[in-house]
Amino acid sequence: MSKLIISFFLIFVLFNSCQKVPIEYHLVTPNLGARKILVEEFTGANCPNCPKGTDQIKNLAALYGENLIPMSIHAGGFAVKITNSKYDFVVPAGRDLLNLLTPPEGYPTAVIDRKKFPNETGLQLFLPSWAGYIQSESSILPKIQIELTKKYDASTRGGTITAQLTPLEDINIPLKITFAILENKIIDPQKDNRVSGGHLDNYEHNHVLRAILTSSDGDPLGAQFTKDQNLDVTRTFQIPVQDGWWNDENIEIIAFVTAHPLITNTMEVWQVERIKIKD
Amino acid sequence: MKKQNQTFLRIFSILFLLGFATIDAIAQEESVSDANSPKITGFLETRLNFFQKDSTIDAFNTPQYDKTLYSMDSWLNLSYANNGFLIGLRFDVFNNSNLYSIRNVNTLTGIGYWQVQKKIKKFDITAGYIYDQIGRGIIFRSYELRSLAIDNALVGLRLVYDINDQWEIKFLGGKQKNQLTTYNPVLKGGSLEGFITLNKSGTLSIAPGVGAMARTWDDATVNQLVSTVQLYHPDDSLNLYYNTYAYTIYNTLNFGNFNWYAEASMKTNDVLKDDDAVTTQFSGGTSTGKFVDKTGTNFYSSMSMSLGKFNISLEGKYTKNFKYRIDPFEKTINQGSINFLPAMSKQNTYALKNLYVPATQELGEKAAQCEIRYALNDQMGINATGSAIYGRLDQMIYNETDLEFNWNKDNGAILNLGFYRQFYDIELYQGKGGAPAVQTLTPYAEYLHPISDHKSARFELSYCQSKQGYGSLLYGLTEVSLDKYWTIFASDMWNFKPVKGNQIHYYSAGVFFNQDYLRISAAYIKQPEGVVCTGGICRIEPAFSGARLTINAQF
Repeated sequence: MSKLIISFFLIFVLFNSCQKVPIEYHLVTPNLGARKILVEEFTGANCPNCPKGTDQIKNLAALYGENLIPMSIHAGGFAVKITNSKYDFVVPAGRDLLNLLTPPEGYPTAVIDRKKFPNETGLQLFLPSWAGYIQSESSILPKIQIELTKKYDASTRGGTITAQLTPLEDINIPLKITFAILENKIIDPQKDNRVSGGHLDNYEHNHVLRAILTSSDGDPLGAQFTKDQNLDVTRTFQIPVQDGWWNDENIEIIAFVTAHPLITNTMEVWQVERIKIKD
Repeated sequence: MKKQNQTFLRIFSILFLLGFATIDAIAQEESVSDANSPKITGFLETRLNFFQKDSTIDAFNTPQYDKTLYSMDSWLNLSYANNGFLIGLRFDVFNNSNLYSIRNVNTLTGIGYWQVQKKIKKFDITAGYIYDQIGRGIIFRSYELRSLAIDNALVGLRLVYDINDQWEIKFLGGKQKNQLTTYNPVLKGGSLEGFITLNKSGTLSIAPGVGAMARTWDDATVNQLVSTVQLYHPDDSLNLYYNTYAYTIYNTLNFGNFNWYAEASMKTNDVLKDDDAVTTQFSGGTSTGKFVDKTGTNFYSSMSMSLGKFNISLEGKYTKNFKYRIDPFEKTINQGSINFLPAMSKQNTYALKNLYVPATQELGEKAAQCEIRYALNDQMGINATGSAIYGRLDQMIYNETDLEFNWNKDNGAILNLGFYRQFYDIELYQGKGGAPAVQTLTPYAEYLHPISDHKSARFELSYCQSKQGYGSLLYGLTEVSLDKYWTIFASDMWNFKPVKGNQIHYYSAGVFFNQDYLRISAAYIKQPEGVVCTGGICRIEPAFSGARLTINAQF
């Protein structure tokens, strides 16, 4: 009997030691530095969970402003036309990026700065992790700066984009650069499981990947970069004429510098910048 | 971890050598004291997949189809018993595996489990990887379920003390396994369980128990969580705690043929990922999906009774915010669960009854199920099953009814005939927004025909009529046991009226070899992508096209 009493006492001690220790934290707004973050969101018109992710990116963009640069890639099983769809958002470059960054386990999903974060199974990240990783990325000091200038002739719909790269320290790692054309304000149906019927006819698609001006995994830049010694990289582009989209008022071009995966074993984005082709 | 594995391997090798030496030394005494003889046993399970791309069934666009073309998952268990010691070791091999991550290649090799156990009179000590549960597992369950890629062993220490013949107290603590590493948060808990006979004849007894399980987050998890929630809109701010505690009280009452189990559990404030919680956006408006801090409750009860020719079992469950995870971010779907909430749907065996299986809703569920079996005579019986599950908003999300007739003839022939009906909220369970709930009507039949000793033929035929989900399907299987060792089978699942796309045949054929210690199967398989569930825990199984070889051996 005494043993039983002792046991109950031990259980009581165990239960009684159950104090909740609060974690102190304060709501903050992010400190914006020179480092900009690339968020590659994989989505599709037939993906009912994806608008939730898009909203989260929009929400974070409201906090980070120009320091957060989203790219919406329509690729994978959900990237198909649905009822009343006018456009097929799938482009070969999107498929390439899906293969390069590995298809996700589920949606919403995004790749942040192409970084494999500790304890993550891959580059693709589920929504709850985005805010924290974006914040940790934004606190990193950039090693390289990008300044974009463009020349665009609206009459011919052609132009050039130049990225002036300024190393902020000596760099001895092979790097690559990617230029991508994105389009905003495309109105087309989207599945959304938060709305009645699960379908929105007039959904506004933003930051949609339309084309990549370099190789999908980037063009090599070299492996030796001296601090403050600028390097200009220029590509030409042509905006097609197509009914309803490829609206040059809504086109933006992003450029980002990444590590060379074959040599560095990582594809991490070092810096990213964007510019509208029409002011 | 690697160093830890190496150290353990050395220790294990020494113990093995000692064991073999002891085997030799006491071999002559085996007949005298077999129970104390050292004993080594083992079990091997190996699955080899050979992938063949087939875009018509969506079996493509994963590294296994595009690059590796092959994968292997293998587990070799060894157990050594000597002088009251029990030592276990498991060597895990994952080559190009898609078991833990269906879109990635997972290659890992190492010690996936080891355990040392010794009972010293009333005191039982276990160290290493521990599989255990408290009550029905509602506040804690560590277990392995390979088909669903679940292996959440507690890596730590367990101490059990037999207070007397009726009462036992248990303490356990450690970290949860994460493939070949561990998660950082720490778990600790315990239980007190008893067994009391209330009458002299022993027909009335109770088995009460209480338990607790605490989780303490580590700094890395807290930092990641804080870096996420500190950016929340003030309307969405929440309280965070280092510690969360779950408590449970349970009892089993036995009275003759009547058995009643009841368990009530609660959980202190915990950070839960809630995909439906409304968030306030800095960009204006609202969206859904955020972390919330909530307390949790769960009530579970089951009872069974035998009344002459009737056998009746009932189960019910109420769940509110009872998700208990080691990692609030739930980076992988099935890993990281601390607890297990029993499922409230029938575990089906036939293919077309398994197309739509409900996953347990950890954030909110009210569910009940009932099974009644009536024996018509010694050979024939009728089985009726029904279950209903309501979601967080009290909406019906799943129900099923099944009526089955069984006939086991004296000559070994078996006939099962049944009719199955199902309602499944595919939007909720599979996130298919706007998709109508699936309703199915499935008549099915199975017949086993004995031919001679070790020779038999089994036939299965079922038809699933539905205008949602996959659409309508027909399934047929023929399995012939040729002799004591060899069995061949062929099957086809024909999606003859798909909701969209073309008709598809998912056919398979293969052979089994069975011996006392060895079972080998080789098959060519085509199967659709689907949700595979066991006990309410589900995993998305990618479409498969190719050959599969499995080897199971015990020694």
